[in-house]
Amino acid sequence: MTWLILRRIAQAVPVMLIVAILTFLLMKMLPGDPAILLAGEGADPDKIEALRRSLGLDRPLLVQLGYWLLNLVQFDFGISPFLNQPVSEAILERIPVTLSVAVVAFVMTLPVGIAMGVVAAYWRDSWIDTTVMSLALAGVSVPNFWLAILAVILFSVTLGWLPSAGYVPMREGFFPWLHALIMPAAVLALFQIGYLARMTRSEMLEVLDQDYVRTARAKGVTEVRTVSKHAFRNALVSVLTVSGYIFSLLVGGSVVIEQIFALPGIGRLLVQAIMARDIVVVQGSMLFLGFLFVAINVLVDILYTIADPRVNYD
Amino acid sequence: MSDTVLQVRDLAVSFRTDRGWVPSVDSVNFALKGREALGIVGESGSGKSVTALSLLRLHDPRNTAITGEVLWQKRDILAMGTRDLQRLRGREIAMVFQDPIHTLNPVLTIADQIGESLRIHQGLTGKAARRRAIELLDQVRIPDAARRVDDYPHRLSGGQRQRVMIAIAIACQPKLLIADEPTTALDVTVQAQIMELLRQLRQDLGMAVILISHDLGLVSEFADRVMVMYAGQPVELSPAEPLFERPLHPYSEGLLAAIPDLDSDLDRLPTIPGAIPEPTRRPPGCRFAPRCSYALESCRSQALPMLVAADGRAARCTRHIPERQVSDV
Amino acid sequence: MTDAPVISALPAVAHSPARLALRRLLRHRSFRIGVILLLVLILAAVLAPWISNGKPNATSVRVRFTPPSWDYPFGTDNFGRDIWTRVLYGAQVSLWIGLTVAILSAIFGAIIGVCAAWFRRLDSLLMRVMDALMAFPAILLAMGVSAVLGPHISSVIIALTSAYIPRCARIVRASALVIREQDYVEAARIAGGSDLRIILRHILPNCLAPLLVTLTFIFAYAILAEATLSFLGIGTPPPHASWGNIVAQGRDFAIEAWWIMLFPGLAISIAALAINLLGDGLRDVLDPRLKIEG
Repeated sequence: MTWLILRRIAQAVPVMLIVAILTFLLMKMLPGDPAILLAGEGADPDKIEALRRSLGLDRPLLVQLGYWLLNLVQFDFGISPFLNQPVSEAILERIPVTLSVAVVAFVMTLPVGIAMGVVAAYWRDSWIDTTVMSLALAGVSVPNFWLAILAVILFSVTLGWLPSAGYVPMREGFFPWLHALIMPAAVLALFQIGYLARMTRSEMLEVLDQDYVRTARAKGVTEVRTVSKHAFRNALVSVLTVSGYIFSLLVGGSVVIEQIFALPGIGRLLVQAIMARDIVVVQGSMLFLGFLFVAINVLVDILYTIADPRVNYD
Repeated sequence: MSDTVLQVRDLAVSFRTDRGWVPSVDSVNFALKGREALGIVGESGSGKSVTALSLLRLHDPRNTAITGEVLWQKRDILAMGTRDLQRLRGREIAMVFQDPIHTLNPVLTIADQIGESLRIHQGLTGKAARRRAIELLDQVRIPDAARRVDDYPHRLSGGQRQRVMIAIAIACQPKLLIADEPTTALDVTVQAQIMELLRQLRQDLGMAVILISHDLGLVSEFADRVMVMYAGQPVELSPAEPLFERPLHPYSEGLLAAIPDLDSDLDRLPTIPGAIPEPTRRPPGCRFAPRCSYALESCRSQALPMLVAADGRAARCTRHIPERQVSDV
Repeated sequence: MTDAPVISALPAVAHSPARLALRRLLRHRSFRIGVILLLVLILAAVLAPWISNGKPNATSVRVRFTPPSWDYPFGTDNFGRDIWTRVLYGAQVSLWIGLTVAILSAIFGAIIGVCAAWFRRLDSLLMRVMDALMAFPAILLAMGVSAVLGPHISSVIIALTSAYIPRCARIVRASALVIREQDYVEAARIAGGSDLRIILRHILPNCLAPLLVTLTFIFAYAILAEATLSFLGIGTPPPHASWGNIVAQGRDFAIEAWWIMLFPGLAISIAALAINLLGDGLRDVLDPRLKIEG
């Protein structure tokens, strides 16, 4: 098992390397001279030349890539001329916000999505199934930025229950933190809840038809336990696989939600950097998120190894 | 032999399909005494497994309609409430299924799967359940039971998994064991061992057994009485020995002729041309008539009830029981 | 005695698999609803010049912030532009981008997936690159690409396509790997069929069902993603009317002039809903086991 986990971590290294190279190449495709871009239009040619040299832009592409990778290993993503701050620092400042939104949304998504899927599968083709699955379908069809605006109108402007914007760090208390996050996280979660409910349902439909479910019934196991233990434990393996994927999507979705609720997370940083054409930050935050997603995938695979006894078999 | 424990009357099963309700099994009548072994035989599609599953109401209730009576010690299983049914299943009547690869839950340990019955029906938990589970594995002759008990099913061979299934079934010492093709998915040597185990357990535990199989040879070695099914109906019900010597129904005759192929997986009988008609295309008269080499004109138009001969054997055919008499077995 | 089975008296019904699938699709409730909704949207987009109130960017200061009325069914915005007209023209942009992205992703995904499955030496490299692209949620990857290429409709298409290619490639590769082990493929190879011929005749046709289902869901995701990018200001650039950027514009007036953001948002939802319904139908009929990661 340890061997399997180590192997999985080792497999992630080339993927991370490719993520790094792709990000590097993507930014090289940027039209225009990055030195001019960074120094500003009409800057002193000497200054541009100096900047170019300091960034290593005068060297061959492969050498640049090499240096860049070397810096990455030391967690050096460069310095943003706009923020006047190392990119790694800017990211580390903002990552708690993004992760907070994603984690709260994740905690909402899992139980609700799974419960909806299980209930719909158990009472398949009944009105319960139709109702639950219509809600799930709405979840994956309504754009969350639009839903966010509607939610603000309802819960902040009309009812005045929740703040329409802003972030409260956890050190100021758990409940203030949660209060600020609950609406953005809920809006973000709806799409994933729909997705997870749809996935869980089809997974459960398949499992409920398996012979071992009949065996459980023949033993005299109650329906609740048949579904929750015998069937769901088997569906759990696939649910677990997508849950890591869902977490990644929640982090990605947070990028959009942060714009609407004025949350100072990575998403806001990224969008501002795109607007300002601050490539160092765009590159750095894309890369950081890419690494984060690869790491999440590895973690999920490891959990999967633990959850499914069959994987250990070799 | 003791008193009747199970009495099945006019059992009929229909399934809902895309094209409406389709009858699958009908006119099933039989009785079973305590400690008796009944074999149910027929080709695939004859309705024997459907019948077996109906006895414990294991079909999906939303698209299955079961009518008739299944009286277990005078109580009708078909009319029972969910609670009573769950208390009956696994404790008084237990079941072993055909394909041991898929009938055990892949993500639960063997201890867990055997222990579950013990917990539900006997209130055993923790160490006591585990100890009993090991005992049961010993009883079904799984070597090294104390270690095997913590394994997951994929670690075991097909034969061993079937032994585990049997251990689960006998965990609460049921009065009736229904074994639905328990050896079909196994290879021949393992088949013989499993049948030997069942025979032994039946004796030790004093259970009644219903053995479902397509293999008349296997059934005749095991069962006291045999019910032959064809196209959803019983066509012959007889003690095992006389059935062998002189089958009353031409279909039983065909099955007998097929016995030499003990280890063949053929679903079709080489000695009887044709195949079982689909439930939606059953002929109006005797359902076997299209394949029967003795069929008369009247056979094709008129369906028969079970006819009882003087010696108490019954068959749905006039060839050997000329005197018409409605059975009330 | 003859032993002619009675069954043969009944006529045997023979159908080609394609016709059978089509018949089952037409009986599928959500598929029917999806098709009807989508047809209505496509019709609205195509007929936009005839059923709208003139040009989508025509401003009129006199009618700024008009609530929905008989003349302006969806109201007007802060420049006095007719929202009904803008939503209709927005449908052209959104549906066009969504469909183009879906088709391009399917084509490139199919090429990469088949190459990975057929030329085993390429497999590991191609799939690692796909893994790396898959590591990013589509919307983030699209943001990065769109940031580099600048705000054009074509860069939105390239951005979203590059995000969805890996999903198609994985599905096609998985099917192709199964099919290449089939006896008839082996037979074709022994008979001296060229790689290209075997791929075109045997491998690709058998990947079509899962690919079609995937493509449909990507169509829906792409519409949502395009709207999101446009909402963030890095998608379809104004003054092109796109559902996403109309919502973005209406956001500042969401309380006083709710109609500006409400109707384009509804349009996005209905479009995504229609295509998801259609996709559900296709999946149920063509490939019930398929799992798709958006």
